[in-house]
Amino acid sequence: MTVLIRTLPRSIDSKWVRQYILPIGLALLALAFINLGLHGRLAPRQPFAPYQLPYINDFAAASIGNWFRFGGNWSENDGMLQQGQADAATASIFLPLWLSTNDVYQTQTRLMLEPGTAAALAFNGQYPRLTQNRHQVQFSVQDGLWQMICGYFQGPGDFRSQAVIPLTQPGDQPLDVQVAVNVSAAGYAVRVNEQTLIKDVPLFFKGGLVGLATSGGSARFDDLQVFKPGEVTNQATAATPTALAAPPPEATPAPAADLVNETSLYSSAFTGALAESGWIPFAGDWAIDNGSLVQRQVEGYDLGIAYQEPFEAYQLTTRFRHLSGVGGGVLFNMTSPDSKNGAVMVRYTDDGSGIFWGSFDEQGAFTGQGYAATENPGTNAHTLDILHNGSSYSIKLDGNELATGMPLVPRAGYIGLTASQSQVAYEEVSIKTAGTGEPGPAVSNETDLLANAQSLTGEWQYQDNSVQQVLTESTDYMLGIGILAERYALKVDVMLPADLTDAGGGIIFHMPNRDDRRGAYMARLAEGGKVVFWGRYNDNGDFEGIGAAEVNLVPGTPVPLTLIVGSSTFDLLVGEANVATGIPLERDSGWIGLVSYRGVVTFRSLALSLNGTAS
Amino acid sequence: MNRVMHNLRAGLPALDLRLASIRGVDWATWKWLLVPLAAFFISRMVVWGGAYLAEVALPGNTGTEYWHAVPENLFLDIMARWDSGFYINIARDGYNFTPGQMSSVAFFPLYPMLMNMAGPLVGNNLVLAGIVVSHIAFFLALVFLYRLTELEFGDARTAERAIYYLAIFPTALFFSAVYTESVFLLFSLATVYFARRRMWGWAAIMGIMTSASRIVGVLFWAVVVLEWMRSHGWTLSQIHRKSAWVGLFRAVRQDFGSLFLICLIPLGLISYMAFLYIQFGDPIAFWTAQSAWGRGSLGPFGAIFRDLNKLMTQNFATGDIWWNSLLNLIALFSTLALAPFVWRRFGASFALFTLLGVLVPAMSGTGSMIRYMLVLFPIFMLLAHWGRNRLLDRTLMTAFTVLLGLFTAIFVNWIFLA
Repeated sequence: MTVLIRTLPRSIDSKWVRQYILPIGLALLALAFINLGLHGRLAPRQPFAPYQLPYINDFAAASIGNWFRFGGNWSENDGMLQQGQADAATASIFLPLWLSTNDVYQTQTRLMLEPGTAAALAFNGQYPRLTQNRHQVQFSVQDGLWQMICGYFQGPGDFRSQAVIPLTQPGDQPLDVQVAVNVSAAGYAVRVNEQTLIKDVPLFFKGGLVGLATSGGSARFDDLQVFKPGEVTNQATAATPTALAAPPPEATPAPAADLVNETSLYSSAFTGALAESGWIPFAGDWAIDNGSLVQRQVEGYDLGIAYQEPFEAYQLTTRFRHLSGVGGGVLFNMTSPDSKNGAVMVRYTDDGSGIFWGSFDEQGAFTGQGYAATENPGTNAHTLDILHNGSSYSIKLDGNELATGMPLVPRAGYIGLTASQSQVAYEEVSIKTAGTGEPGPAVSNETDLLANAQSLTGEWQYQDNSVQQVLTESTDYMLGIGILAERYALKVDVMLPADLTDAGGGIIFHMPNRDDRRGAYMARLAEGGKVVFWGRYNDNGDFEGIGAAEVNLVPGTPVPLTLIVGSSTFDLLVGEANVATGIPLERDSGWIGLVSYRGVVTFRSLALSLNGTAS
Repeated sequence: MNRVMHNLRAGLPALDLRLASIRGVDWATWKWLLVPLAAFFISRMVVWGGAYLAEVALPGNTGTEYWHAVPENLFLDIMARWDSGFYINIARDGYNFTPGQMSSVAFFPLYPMLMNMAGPLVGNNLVLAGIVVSHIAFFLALVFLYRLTELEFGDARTAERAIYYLAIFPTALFFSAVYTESVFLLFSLATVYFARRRMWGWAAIMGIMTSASRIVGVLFWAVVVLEWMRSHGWTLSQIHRKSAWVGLFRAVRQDFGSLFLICLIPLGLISYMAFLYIQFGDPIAFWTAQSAWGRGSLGPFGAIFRDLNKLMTQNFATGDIWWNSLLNLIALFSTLALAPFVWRRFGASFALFTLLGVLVPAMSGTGSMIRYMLVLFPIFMLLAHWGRNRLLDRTLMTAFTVLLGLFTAIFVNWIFLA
């Protein structure tokens, strides 16, 4: 190198040029190199900034030049986005649009697939060029049928399924579907061809990118949209041949019942020897020290200790602080006090960025149910409350609710403490119960349920705790209550007019659209309360009866009408009498409304439980 | 039989002559290239072989935070861990800065810039680009270290030992990883080499690049200034003599051009600060961002006392210790202990770089000190000099190699090393 340097200026006679001018010139070149590199190549490119919500693309023009591609051969052909590489094991493309963790949004697209291939709508992707840390709704063939798989990539190639829903389309035929994902703080819901197939699915990654992915072959996509509910523009509607249905309201899981008449079942007194405390360690290094139960082992995951007695339906309160590292939490619903297998776990993530929860199966494999970002716990004391109400649980951290209505296997289980990669001191553990065991289904009052009500036909008037339909023409009038649900119990007191012998009133449910009775089911009183019938509206809007029963009610007297909707059947009760049981349903979800025939029909004390108990 | 042997022996000189003519090269003149080449390949075989084996044979950390840049190609993926993500992001998406969060502005620009430029040459695979840049820079750094050591000691054997000690130093795995170490080492060695050769212009150019590759790079301004002063008869040992100062002032007048060139060295850092000011309004964002890593201005001894105190309260018998802190403090105190010997053997400029090379980062914490020590080349030159003692030489070679394999396995499996 020095030989080269010395020979370079040999033709230059001037000592000044050789000693100063040339080095200065080269130094300027070096500076130019650094500064051009900095400003030209390393300036923040804000790759996610160019696109704003709402984003609509019908791929009519070239538009994917700055998208993030990872594998495959992506192009725009015939007004569609195509991944054309048939032998691409995996391929993905993400929009340069970054959604924040707080964004509530809907993304949708149309997927066209040939048999043998798979494609997905990916969302909340954390890495635009990696197959990890993202959610996706994928369509592929399994057992001769197309199916939808919802899940997430935890790590590279580590896909974890959250739900698998078979479709009716045979697997040897091409698939052409419109898929929409509604993402909210509570989780996400998926609609396929305007039908909600699943909702309240927990999110493991929040915020991030929306994209498309394929595996095993080529696929085509069209009409990709990302928008916030309520922000659908005319442009959005125009871009989509099938008009966008208004996104369903977030179906809130049933709130946990408040516990009353609290009885203390256990209260910690961490003194004396561990062996005499009733706590049984099964992993880690546990000791009672200075009034706390301390896990002292730094390395290791899901180290645990359990209390010797099982409990059923309780409030578990734990106050603890991290001495080093982060990863403390609790176990509950444990099948045995000497193993985490089968237990539900709620604990801090190892990096302290949040709390996550989920359950271990009998083999000890963990499946997450949810995550909430929190402040790093540091070394301060924090209180974690678990409200176990029999079939679901809720989580509070320092009084702030992180999750409610998380399902669990009902059983009397053991409770425990856990720590991962951390030393944790548990200062207090207490268990209280209402003593009532399984709380009844949570119900909402009428005021809440009618907050989004919309008159579809007729004239509906609201009064305290009731709503009346006042028109008296001989036809059905409908009120949509603005709630879409799958399994639930709906109860309403119906009072028919005393002076009209042919009046009727009841419930319409499983409406495919909130303002259209075609395809919906109806159960209503008729003939002034002499009979109740139930049936279904066909696709033309004509009612087709399924069954009827005599009830002989007294007109002018309110009578409770209760509808219990399961996954594939429904039950109907008039007063206390069960008039219909196990009536098959051809749909598994839909919008709910009230219906009156003539008037004035009064509906009172409307109550809805989203934890319907019908099979 | 004897006749056969006689004929063979008689033929050997002729064979040697023929081989020499076939080669047509005097290999001794290329030793400065071949020895570093051998050290490069041998040490990289250890690193890559160990890394691959550790990845496939040992259980590593898994989880959301343990990302994989190239999951479909382990040979590349194993060299991208921890801070590599920042370099890849900078090269791909440019810098970002969010006060209070771990932001990429903390990482100096030269290395990701070279990655960005090399990317198109390797199919836009930035991990591969980073690895290629690291390896090229590392090999050239070995060449410079060989030449510099040879220049200092006039002894090829010492130079050979120096490059081997460096190449198999326990944290030398970072020379292969998507990390800035090899690029910084290359330009810092080149700066000092040219300064020792009194080639001030080239020293300035290399110094500019050094100051754009890591924050301690700006120290080479002082290093080269001291070298320039020494070349004009001014040393710290003569600081009390009037003649030394008179000579220095005369040199400033007579050799002002060289001094001017040397003063360009901080422009690499200044360019980066100007960039940060223009883009983010904070010219020292690289320092501001340190707080997100739990680093802050603790003073020259605050962090050291903090970590020492941490060690004192741990149970070494049960292994319940902060082993990272232990390694970092060993590295720190070893460097501090060796600095006086560096001063005595190589002069104030090398000692200044050696001392400040650990004390500047130690002002905000002792974390990663074993990696920072890796680029303090005067230490390796000194050890090479002492390595004339065969026992010491073998001890260092054995210990370094074993620890290099161990540290590589730790790094690859997502256990934070440095």
